[in-house]
Amino acid sequence: MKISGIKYLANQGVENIWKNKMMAFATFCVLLISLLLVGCSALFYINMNSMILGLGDQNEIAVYVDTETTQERVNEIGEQLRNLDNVSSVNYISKEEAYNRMQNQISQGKEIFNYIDDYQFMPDGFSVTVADNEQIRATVDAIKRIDNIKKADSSPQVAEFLRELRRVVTLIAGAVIIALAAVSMIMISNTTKASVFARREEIQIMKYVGATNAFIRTPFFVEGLVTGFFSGAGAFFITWAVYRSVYNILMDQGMLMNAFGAGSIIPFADIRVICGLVYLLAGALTGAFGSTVSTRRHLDV
Amino acid sequence: MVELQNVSVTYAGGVDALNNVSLKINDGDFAFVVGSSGAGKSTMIKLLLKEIDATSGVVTVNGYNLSKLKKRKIPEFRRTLGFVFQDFRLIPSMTVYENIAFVLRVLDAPLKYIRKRVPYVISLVGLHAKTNSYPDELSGGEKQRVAIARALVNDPQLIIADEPTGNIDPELSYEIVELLKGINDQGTTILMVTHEHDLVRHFGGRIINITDGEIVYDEVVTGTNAELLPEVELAQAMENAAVQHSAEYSMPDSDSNYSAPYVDDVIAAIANTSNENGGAK
Repeated sequence: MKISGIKYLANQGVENIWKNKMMAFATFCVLLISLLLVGCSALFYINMNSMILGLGDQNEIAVYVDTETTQERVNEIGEQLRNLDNVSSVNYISKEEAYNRMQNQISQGKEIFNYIDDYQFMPDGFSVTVADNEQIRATVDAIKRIDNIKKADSSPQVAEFLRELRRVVTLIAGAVIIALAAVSMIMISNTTKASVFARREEIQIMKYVGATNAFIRTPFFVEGLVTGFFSGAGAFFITWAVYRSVYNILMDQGMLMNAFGAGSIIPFADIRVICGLVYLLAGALTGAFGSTVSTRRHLDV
Repeated sequence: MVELQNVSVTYAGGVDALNNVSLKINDGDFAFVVGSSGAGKSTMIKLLLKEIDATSGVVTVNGYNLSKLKKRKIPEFRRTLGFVFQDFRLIPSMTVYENIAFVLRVLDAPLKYIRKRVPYVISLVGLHAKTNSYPDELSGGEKQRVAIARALVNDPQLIIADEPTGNIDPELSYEIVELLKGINDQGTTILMVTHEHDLVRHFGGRIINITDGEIVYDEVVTGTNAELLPEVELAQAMENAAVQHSAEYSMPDSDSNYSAPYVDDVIAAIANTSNENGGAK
C-alpha cells in the first residue's frame, strides 16, 4: 500500500471519531473510568505495600549488654553483631545515652534521675535493624548466643502482624484489581461492540466494494488507539490531581500519620513518568484492540 | 461473463432456493432477472457476489470460479464488479464524493487519478451540485445515482443491480434504467434484478424469469417503448459534464492501470435513447 493510502486510512480513523462523536465519547468515558478504577487500585496497593514495609523497617532488636562488661568487650560485641546474617545496621547506645533516653522517656524522669549522678548502672546497648523481618526470630536467637548479652528484645508479634497484613492487603488488592480489570474489559468490549455494531452496514458496504479486512480494520484501529490514548491522558491527569491532594493532606497530619507509616507513601513525582506511560499505553492498546476485535464479526460478508 | 452451471443452493433449513440452474450471460449483455418474491433472485445475487456458496454446481463470474475462490481472494474478485442495491447502501458518514472515491481508495488508486475521476463520474450521473452532500440530504433517485456512479467509478466488467428502482418514484425508474442502458452500450455487462414488469416490458432485452428456484423463461424480447420517458434532464447534465470534463481534465497516464469509460459515447447513447423514445428532454 502506498504512503498516501496509509495516510488516508489514518485520517479516516481520526475523522471517524468526530463523525461518530457520541459513540466515541461513550468509549472515551468507559475507558477513562476503567483506567481510573484499575489505576487507583494499583496505586493504593503499591502505597499500602510501601507503608507496611516502612513500618517493618522501624522494627528493631534492642540488645542489652551485661553491666560489668568492659568497653573493649562491648566493642567486640558490636563487631560480632555486624557480622551476623540478616543484620542491616547496628547502632551503639552507650550507658550515658541510655541514661539520657531513660530520663526523657519516663514522666518526671529528670526529677527522679536528679538523685542519681552516676549512669554506670545502665547497660550498654545496641539497636540492631534486620534486613528481612521474616528472619527476625532467628536473628534474635543468634544474638542471644553471643557472650555477655543480657537481653535481646524484638517485637516479633509486630513483624508477624505486618507480614500478615501485607499478605492480606496483597490478596485483597490483587482480587480487586483483577475484578475491576475484568469488569472494565467487559464494559469496554460492550461499548466498542455497540460502536462497531452501529456501523456494521458501513463495514458490509466496504466489503462489497472489495475492501480487504485490513483496509476496513485500520481506521477502526486508529480510532480506538486515539480514543484510548486520550482516555489514558485524562485518567493520568485526574490521578495526578487526586493523588497530590491526598498526599498533601496526609503529609500535613505529621506525626499522627507517620505512626501509620504515611511517611512511606510514594510522592507522585517519583511515579509520574511510569504512571503516565502505563496509563497512555494501557488506554491506547485497550482502545485499539477492543475496537479491532469488535469489527471481526461483521467482516464475514 | 457470468456463467452458472447446474447450480443449486439449499439453505440450512432445507429450503431449496435455486434448483439446478444453468445460465450464461456474455460480456456486454444487458439482462433483466425477474421473478416473484422468494423465487430465488436474491439468492442468485448473493451467489454472484460470493456472499454465499452454491451447494452444488459451478459459478463463474468475470473469469473467477467462485466455487473454488479462496476467502482472501474475494476482495480482488469484488473489485471487478459494480453493484447497485435497492437500499442504495451508501456510507452515511461519507459525502457523495467520499462514497465514490472510497472504491478507488480500496484499489489504492493514485490520488491524482481519484481527484479527476470522481468529479467526472459525479457529473456523469448529474449530481455535480451534490458533490459534498451526505446521503441523508439526497432524494431516493439521487442516492441511486450516487450508487450507480460508485458502481461505475472503477470501470467494472459487470454491474449487478438488485432492484435498483425499488425505492424510487416510478418516473425516476426510467432514468435509472436509461443510465444503466447507457453504461451497457459501452460494453459493461449489466445484470438487473427487478420485479417491475412494466419497466422490463418497456425496455425489452434479455429477460430471465426465475420461479421457485428454476429458470422458466430466458428470451430476448423487443421493448414496447410504449410509455414516454419522463423528463430526463440527466442527458443534458451529462452532456454539460462531458464538455466540462474534456476541458478541465485529461485522462490518466497511459501506463496507469485505470481507464475511464468513454464518456462522450455514454452521453450520446443516453441522449439518443431518450430522443428515440419520444423526445424525453
